[in-house]
Amino acid sequence: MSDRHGDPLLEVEDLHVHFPVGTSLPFRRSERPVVRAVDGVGLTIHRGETLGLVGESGCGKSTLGLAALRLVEPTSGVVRFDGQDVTAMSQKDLRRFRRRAGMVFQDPYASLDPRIAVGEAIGEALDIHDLHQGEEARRGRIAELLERVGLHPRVIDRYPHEFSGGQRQRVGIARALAVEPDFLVLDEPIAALDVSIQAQVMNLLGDLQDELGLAFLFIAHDLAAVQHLADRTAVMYLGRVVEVADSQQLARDPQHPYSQALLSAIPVPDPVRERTRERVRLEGDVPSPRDVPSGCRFRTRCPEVFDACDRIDPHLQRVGDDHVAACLLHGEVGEPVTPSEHADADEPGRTRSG
Amino acid sequence: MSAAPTGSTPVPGADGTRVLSVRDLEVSFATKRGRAHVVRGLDFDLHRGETLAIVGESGSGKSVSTLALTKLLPIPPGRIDGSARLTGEGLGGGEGVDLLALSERDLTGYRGRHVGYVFQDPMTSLNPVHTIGRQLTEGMRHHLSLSERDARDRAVELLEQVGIPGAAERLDDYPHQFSGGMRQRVVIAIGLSCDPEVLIADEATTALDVTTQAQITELVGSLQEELGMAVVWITHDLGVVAGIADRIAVMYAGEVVEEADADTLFADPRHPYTVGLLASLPIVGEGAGQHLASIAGLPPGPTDLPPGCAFHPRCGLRLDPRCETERPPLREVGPGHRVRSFYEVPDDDPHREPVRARVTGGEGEA
Repeated sequence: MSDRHGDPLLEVEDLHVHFPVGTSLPFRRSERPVVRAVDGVGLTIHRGETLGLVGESGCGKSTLGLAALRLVEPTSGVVRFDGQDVTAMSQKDLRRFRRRAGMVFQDPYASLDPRIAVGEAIGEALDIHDLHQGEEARRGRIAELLERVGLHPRVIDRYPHEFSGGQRQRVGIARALAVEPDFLVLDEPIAALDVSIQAQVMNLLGDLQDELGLAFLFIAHDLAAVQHLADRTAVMYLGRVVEVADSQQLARDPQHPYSQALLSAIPVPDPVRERTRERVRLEGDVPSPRDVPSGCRFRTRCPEVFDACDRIDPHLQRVGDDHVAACLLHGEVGEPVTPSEHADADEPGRTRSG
Repeated sequence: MSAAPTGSTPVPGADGTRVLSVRDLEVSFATKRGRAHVVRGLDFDLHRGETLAIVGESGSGKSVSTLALTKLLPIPPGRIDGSARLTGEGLGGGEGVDLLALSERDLTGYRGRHVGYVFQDPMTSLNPVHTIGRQLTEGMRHHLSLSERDARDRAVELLEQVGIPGAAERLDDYPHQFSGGMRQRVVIAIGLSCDPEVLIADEATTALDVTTQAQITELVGSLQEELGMAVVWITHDLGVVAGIADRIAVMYAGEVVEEADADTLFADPRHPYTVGLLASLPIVGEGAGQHLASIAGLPPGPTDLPPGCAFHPRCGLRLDPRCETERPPLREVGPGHRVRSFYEVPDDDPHREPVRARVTGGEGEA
């Protein structure tokens, strides 16, 4: 299954990305309120591996992807790429890093400049990193990249509006490949595409990985797509990774109650199975990342919540081969915290009941 | 334009009373590049309590065809032909009413009252400067002539029905004070407010997260059971459809290419487009790392439709010489199962493999 694991390429340790919002209240010694978009995440991606990252909107998965490339500044924590600390890199080192790690964005309509021909959009990457010798070689390389992603080289001088969504996404991928990276963050690369086109782009990504030995962080809300491409899959909820496992293993036997609910909510294109399978129903909405529940952050919606959940902040613990989950049902492993009523987290001195 | 009587077989979930029958629906728009034929000859019947899913990719005409039913399109440049007969108690003296033959003025009495809509994005389908109470009572006051007090009472009931906690207090809140899922519940409450015979849900859960989506599809299902309305569910997501639809119509380039009850469509698709679409879906926990079957090429634009079968340039089979020259008719290949093709995908076609594997795999697990 996960036989592709080489050396670690990207290591994320206790990463936090907090965004300040609003202003601090006068006469109160409270800190300025923050949105905890990413709130203590650790991950490892090996060479040539695809790690899937799933979660619902607002869980911080895109922010995590951006922070891994230092496209947003982490508040704290470490991102190591090939042993080097990305968070401590100088501008010069960072530039070298960007040759090796890139990004493909979700919306192929927004990620290409409508006034720049697609060949130029790809060529820009070559120029910035000084990756060509002369105009002739540059055009040749662009044509090669276009061909690589399944586009005809003669489209080199066309503008984005002349392309369909799927073709634009191919251009976006060609642009990311221009610098011959080792690692790409794919942020919802197929979400904006039509169903019949999604499979084309998925196949392209799989082929590129096989041929070029790329490592991917594949971010998506579509678990079926993630499973298809990813060796391992991580599930995120409210700024935390709550479970990481071999993709097939996760699909068969999710261990965290949130993963179970997420999996059971995904509609399956088979009416017979849809009618018979049981759903784990989640009540209510995801709490705001400005006001995170104490202890386990899923406890306000968890169908299996018990008394330890509000006083221990669970850590990821081993629950099987190549399988970790942050849930106290598997053992009370984590950091003790002062329980607080979720709705008014500021309320001081509330004692534990029971 | 097929004139075959359609969908006349009652399906589970429906009680056999027809509430809407659409015939020869054609929608086109005048554009700089010529007339764009967006819907080309659509026929369907809808029964009480039934859910018809219209599935298709962007540009297939699935949304336009339902917007056309109550002329929610700019005319001109749009043009709508055909008929959409709404039948129900006291409508047109039992004869029913052809919505498309009504004047704009008369039609306003039907929009929202007999045909309700729930649109995709609750952010844009709610007015941000009015309270949800006002938006919820507007239709009831207009169509049902309720007093303000009665309309508010009913609005609270509706909000409770769609599962909004503290309904009475939330009536005077504005849309931004609700989460995405809650907003979509409000939009559904508005769609239901006048007790329509037909509810059209146009990508009603597409903007929502999967766990919220599951809540909303379940909600619409239980409301439908309770109120007996017919639902047209428009989506591109075949997974959603599998869970909720009684009958499914697959649209491509403005026409229905295949129509069947849900089980038949997933287990035994016959049109090459349907087979290709189903074969291309990745399934959770299966076939990782393998190539997905994919349909080459792109759907045609509405101003440059190919001659013959609209799907033929992308079709890997093209088993009939007429495919490139003649538009195939919608043929009945089984009870309530119609296919717009000169031939059916053979049993030994490799694309059938993943389709079959999925369905039998499902039975094995259940």
